[in-house]
Amino acid sequence: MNYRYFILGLGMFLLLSCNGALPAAEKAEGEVEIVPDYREVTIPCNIAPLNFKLKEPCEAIAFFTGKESHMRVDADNGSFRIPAKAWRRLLEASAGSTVSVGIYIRKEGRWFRYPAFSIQVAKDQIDPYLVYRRIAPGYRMWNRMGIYQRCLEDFTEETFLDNKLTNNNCMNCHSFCMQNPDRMLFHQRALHAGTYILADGHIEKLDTKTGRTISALVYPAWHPSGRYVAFSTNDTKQDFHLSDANRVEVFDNRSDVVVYDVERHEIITAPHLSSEEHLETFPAFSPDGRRLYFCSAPAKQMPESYREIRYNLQSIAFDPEKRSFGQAVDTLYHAEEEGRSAKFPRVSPDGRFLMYTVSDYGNFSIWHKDADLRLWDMLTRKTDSLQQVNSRDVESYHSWSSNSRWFVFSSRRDDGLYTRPYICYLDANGVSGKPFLLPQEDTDYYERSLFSFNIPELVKGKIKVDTYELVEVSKYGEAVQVK
Amino acid sequence: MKWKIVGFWLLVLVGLWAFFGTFGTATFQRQEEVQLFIPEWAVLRDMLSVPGGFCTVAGEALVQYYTSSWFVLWVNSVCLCGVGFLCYLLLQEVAPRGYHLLLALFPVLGLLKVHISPFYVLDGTLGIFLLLLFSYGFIRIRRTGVRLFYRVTSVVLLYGLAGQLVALYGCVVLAMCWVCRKEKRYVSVVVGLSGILLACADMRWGDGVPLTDGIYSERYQEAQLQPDSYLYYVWIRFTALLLVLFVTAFVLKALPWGKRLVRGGVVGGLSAVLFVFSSFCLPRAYEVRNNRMNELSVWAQRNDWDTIIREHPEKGVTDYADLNYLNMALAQKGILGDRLFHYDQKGPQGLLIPWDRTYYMSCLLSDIHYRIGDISLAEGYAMEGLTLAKRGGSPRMLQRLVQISLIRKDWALADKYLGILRRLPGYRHWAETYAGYVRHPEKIGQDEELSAKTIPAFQPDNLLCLIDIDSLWAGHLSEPAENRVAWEYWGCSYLLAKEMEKFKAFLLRTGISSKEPALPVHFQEAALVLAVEDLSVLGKVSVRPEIVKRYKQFQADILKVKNSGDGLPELYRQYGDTFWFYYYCKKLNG
Repeated sequence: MNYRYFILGLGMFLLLSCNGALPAAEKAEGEVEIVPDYREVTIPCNIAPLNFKLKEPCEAIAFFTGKESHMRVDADNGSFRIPAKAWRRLLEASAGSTVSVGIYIRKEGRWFRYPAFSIQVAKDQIDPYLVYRRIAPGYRMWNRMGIYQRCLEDFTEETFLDNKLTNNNCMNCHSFCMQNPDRMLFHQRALHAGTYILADGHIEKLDTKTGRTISALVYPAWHPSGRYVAFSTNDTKQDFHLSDANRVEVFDNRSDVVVYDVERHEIITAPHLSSEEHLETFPAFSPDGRRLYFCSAPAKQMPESYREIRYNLQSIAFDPEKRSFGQAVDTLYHAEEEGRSAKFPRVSPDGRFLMYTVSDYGNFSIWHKDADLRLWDMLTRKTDSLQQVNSRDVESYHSWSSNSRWFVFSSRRDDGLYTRPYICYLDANGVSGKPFLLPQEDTDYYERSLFSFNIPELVKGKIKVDTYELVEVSKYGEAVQVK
Repeated sequence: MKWKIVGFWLLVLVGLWAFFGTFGTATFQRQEEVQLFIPEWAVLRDMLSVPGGFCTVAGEALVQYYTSSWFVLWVNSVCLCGVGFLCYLLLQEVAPRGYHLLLALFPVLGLLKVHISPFYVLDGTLGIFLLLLFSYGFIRIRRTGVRLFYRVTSVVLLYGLAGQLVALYGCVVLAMCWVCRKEKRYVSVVVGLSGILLACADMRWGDGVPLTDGIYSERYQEAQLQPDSYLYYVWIRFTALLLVLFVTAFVLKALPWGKRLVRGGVVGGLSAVLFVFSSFCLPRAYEVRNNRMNELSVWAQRNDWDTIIREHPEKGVTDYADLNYLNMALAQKGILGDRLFHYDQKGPQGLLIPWDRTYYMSCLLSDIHYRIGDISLAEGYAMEGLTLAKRGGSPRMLQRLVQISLIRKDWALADKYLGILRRLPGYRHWAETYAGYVRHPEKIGQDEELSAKTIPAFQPDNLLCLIDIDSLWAGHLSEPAENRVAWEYWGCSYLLAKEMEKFKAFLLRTGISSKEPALPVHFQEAALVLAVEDLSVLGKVSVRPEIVKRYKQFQADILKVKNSGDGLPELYRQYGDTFWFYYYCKKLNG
């Protein structure tokens, strides 16, 4: 009989060990430092596991406690790779509430328990895909780059287009109509130059240089109907600072805003959008398609006056049926009054909020450490400086999820040079959560990477594209001349 | 007989060793500099998961040790020797003939030429080695069960290891079966077509550069930023050469080998063709030039200024890149202003060569500006170099960016770069040393190199396009510590451009206080030239009596030359090492 009890006890011991009984631990003072910093962040219930690591490699345990669910993850030399299925169950159970994360660290043979931190799990899902360009933050030259689509629900990343297939040319400014992956466009520059519109499985290559515009079409913004795309046209230059911490300055000598009619292949504009006395850029349509937002600054002698250029945030009415613009321009942000410069206006799909970027001057804010996001509530007409979202370094280019509850933005807060995508929650009243860095399967990913994440765009599904066909069109397709 | 073969290939190995040793290993050492190979499982797993990833991993793993000249010689010699030997074994399957040793040297010579090209990477030769090895296995395995298994798996395995090379394997297999007649044709057709179809599928649905890009000309390949298509270029031509060798072996097989006359004719003929072929495989002027630049770069990286100066004979013909290295070395030794015109200078571009958007020029300009103290420009070029490095990055540029980030007090950025360098075995120690500065920034003041450099915060910031280079260098006068390098560059830039008014202003502004040490020789010589128009210059700067005396003699001698119309070579012989000859007698292009 005794041996049976022995076996039973042994079995229970083993079972408990396997089920992750936590070690007896002393309470540790202070907060544990983890990389990336996922403490107190708000995450969607369908996000991939937030793998993280401790600053110092060591033996450690993370214990996740959610609503009616918990999970233990043992570190591999200080690095936590959370099992995907268990993570999904945890989030599903904890949607709308909080997951508590306790960290146990072993030092000199003793276990220490750090105060648990929490992760808010929002009930609102995020669009399942994020599309971005990955490129080295070079100044004038480029080498490898590509546009990639990353599934946010796991770690799968697929190539939309890699420039090694297109003779190392440049590709940029991918843009989607209302987060729809079946209607998008992007540009290629240098070799195979053109604007490529991918709509419902069809690829169209456009030659967008015309005699009456400053340049080929640049920064895009789709009209919600998909019938139009607003673009800027820019004469852009770049140079180095002698001693400024910002390193690089990118400025426009001239710029205008135009609207491209996708069906007729025509460009239309208005005097307020293309005046010689002003630099108009960064267009964006309202979700109802009735207003066109853009940035405008009085033109000055460039580059000498580069520090004096400040952009207002303005809007003008647009009639999509008549293809015409209103006569009056509304100014939402007065640059001279505010003393700063506004850019990248983007309205949330529900039409409630307008998010934009501000910096002390200029327009290419990714190189301005003082660049921050601002949120204008169009209902209450109040501006939120998003203190919980911004950092001491660059926050810039942002895009909305289709349900308006999430936005992704570019930040250089980690090291001051390499742009990373951060995701942030915004509730229906405009209260933001703490943003979190796009999770990666390998916790060392960002440390090793010498690429920046550019133009992060949330999309509702996977872009279905035949890369081979896209390359064939790029290399051999006839470009339609835009009128 | 086997000893003769072994002896032959040992001789080839020695010959290759001697060739690479004579040509120089700097070109190979620079290959190490343009790759960022992180030997960690997470990285390797991603690389190996791509078809052809094995060749990339193996190639980069070997190249990371190219900082050692011995290793370069061994790897390259053994690789080429191995390729040659495998070719010989394959040819022997056509018919056992001694002259196949000569035939097998053709691909060795072809690869030898390719190996010294700056556009080629070792992965290509490793792929070729695999191609030959798999082909040999295909034709040699005789046991039925094993043979069948091999047929099926060799295509898939080679595709996994070497990617689209498997199409060329298919071609080689088809050719071998035709010439060796040891296989049923349909078997080789099936295997051959499998390889070709697999490669086509990869081109159609994969993410890689298509094999067909290798068809284009060498000029096209050299213009590509990535080495993939150049590898394909080499692979396609190597395979074509191999097929020609098979056909040649097949044709020659028919000759009555037993007769001495036939033997002599075949061996003699092949030797003659080999000799002619080898003349096409010798390094071109471009490759020799390129290797020279790489040598200079390696010496500069090691701060071996004496060697750079020693390698430049005085009054020897030099080009702009050479001059940039030489002048940088002279400046580092503090003798730029004393010995600038001892060399054949060609204008201000000898100090700062125009940027041609290549990795190599980005490195050079980053070095020069860094040593002068132009930190922003140095960083800009270092970033360009990092971006342009062919294989994911450059440890050398990362080191420079670490230094600049520390000067800028960008601790987080310096830490990031150090974190990457720490993962590279050859840079770990350096990274750990510099990591100490991130943890204890106060120790930077004790570093001889870093403490002397600073971001010019005292100047109002501006864009570099709004400042000319001499204003930039003038700004270094306000630095806390004396920056003699910048001062000499500044003054010499005026002398090289013959801008005497600007030099006068420079001299009067900065040269007066420079009593100890004395003004550089050429600055004193230029002062005498200025004194011809404005004698007061001599009241403000000190010129040694022997220089004054020599100048008076020069004035007399040049008058004679002008009057007589000849005597310039003699004048050059006497005064070619002076600013005077450069100023009065040398015409600048443009």
